[in-house]
Amino acid sequence: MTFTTQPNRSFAGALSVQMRVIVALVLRELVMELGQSRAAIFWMFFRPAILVAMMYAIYSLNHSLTPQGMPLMAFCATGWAAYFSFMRTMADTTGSVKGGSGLLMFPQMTALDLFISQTVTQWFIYNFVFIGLVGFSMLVERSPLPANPLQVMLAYWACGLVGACLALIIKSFARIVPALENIVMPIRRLGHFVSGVIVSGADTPSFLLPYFSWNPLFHAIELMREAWWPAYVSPIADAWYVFRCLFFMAAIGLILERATRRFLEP
Amino acid sequence: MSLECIDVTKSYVTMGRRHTVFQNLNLSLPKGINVGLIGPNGSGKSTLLRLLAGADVPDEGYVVRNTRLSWPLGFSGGFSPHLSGIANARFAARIYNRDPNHVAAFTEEFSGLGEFMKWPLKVCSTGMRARFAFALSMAIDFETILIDEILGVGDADFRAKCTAALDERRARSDIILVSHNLKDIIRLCDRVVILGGRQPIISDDVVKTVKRYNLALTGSADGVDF
Repeated sequence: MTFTTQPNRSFAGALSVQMRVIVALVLRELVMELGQSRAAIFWMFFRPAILVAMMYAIYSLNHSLTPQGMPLMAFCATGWAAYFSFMRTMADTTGSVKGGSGLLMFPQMTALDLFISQTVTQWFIYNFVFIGLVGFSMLVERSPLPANPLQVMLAYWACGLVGACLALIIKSFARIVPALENIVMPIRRLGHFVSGVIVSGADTPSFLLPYFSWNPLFHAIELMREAWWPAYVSPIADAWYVFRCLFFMAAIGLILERATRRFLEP
Repeated sequence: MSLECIDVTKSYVTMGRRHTVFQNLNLSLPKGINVGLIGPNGSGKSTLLRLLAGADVPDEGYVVRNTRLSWPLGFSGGFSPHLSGIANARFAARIYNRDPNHVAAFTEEFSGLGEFMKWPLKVCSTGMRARFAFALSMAIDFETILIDEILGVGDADFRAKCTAALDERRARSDIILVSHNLKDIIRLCDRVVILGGRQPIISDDVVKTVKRYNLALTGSADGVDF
C-alpha cells in the first residue's frame, strides 16, 4: 500500500500553506519571465502576433477562405490567441517540474504547486497577450466590442485550462514512461488543424464535424466567436461539453499526479 | 515527535535495476534533540534527508512532520541563478511566511555580499553562492534545521561566523546533520543514527558509537578527536 509524505496539519492549514507557496512561485515566475528585460515583454506579444499576421496575410490573398460574418483580423486573433494560450500553457506546465525540481527541496513545496503556479503564471501572461492582440485587431478593423465579454473570457480561459489539464495527464504518465513527453509536440501540431483555428466551425466540411467535435478546444474557440459576434452561429459550440471535458481531465490528471508522485526523479 | 518515519520503503531504478535504499524504515526524531546521520556512501543519508524534507516521496509508508523544517542547509538548487540574491531571499521569505525585506536585509548583512546581492546568482562565484545559501538559512527561524555536509563554506573568517551562528541557533532549533566529518557529529549532536544496515542503529552515546563506527569502517579510531 502506498502513502504519501505529508506534514501533519489540518486541511485549512495545508491549504493556506499551499496558497502562500503558489503566490510566491507565481511572483518568482513573473519576475523571471518578464522582469529580466524589456525584450521579454516584446517577445511575449511578438510570437502570437506573427502567427496572427501570417494567417491574416493568407486569408487576404485567398478571399474564398474568409470566415462568415466576422472581421478577418479579429477572427485570426481569437483563434490564434486562444490556441496559443492552450499551446504555451501545455508546453510550459509540462516542463514545470523538470525545470524546478530543485525547488522541491523546500519542505512546503510539491510538484503540484509547481504545476499550478506555472498554470497561473501563463494565465496572467496570456490574458495580457489576448487583450493586446484582440484590442489591436479591433482598432485596425474598427470591429465591434464583444457582445458577451464574460463568455469570451471564460471560453478563452477554458483553452488554457485544457492545455494545463492535458499537461498534467501527460506529465503524470511520463513519470513512469518518460518518452511519453514526446507526445506533446504532435498534439500541438495536430491541434492547429482540428481546433477551428484555421477554419471556423461553420466553414468546416460537414463530414469532418463529427470527428472534430470531440475536441473541447474547438468548442471553446467557437464559443468565443459566438459570444463576440452574435451574427455568427456555430454548428457545434457546446459550453456544457467543454465543462464536462475540463472536469473529467482535471480529475484524471489530479488522480494520476497523486498516484505517480513517488516516481518523480530526485 | 518532531519527525517520524513509519514503515518507509524507498527504492530507485538505476540502469534498469531497482535498488532499495530503505525497507520498512522506522525512525522517530523527537523535539529538543540534535541528530547526526552517518553511514558509508550509498547508505541513504541524503535520501533520508530528502524524505524528511519532503523533496522525495516514499514508495510506501509515511513521513510525519510536526515542525517548521528548513530546506537542507546550504543547498542552493532551490534558488534561481537568473534572479538576484535579494529576489531569491524574498522568495524564500514568502514561502516561510516571513517579512521579505527583513530576510533580504539579514542575508545581505550576514553573507557580506554587499552589491553582489543585487546581481543574478549565476554571476557570483561558487563560494559567494554558498555564503548566500548559508546566510539565508540563518535568516529564517526554523524549528528544525537540515544540514547536508556543508559546515565548511567560505574563507576562515566566514567559517568561524557560520560555526558561531549555528551554535547560537542550536539553542533555539534542533538540527539534523548528515556528515562524514565525525568531529562535527560529536560536537553538534546528542543522538547518532547509523544507516547502512537493515534498520538504523540509534544511540544517544554519540562518542562511543561514532568511535565504534569509525573502527568498523577504517579499522582505527584515528582522525576522530574524542
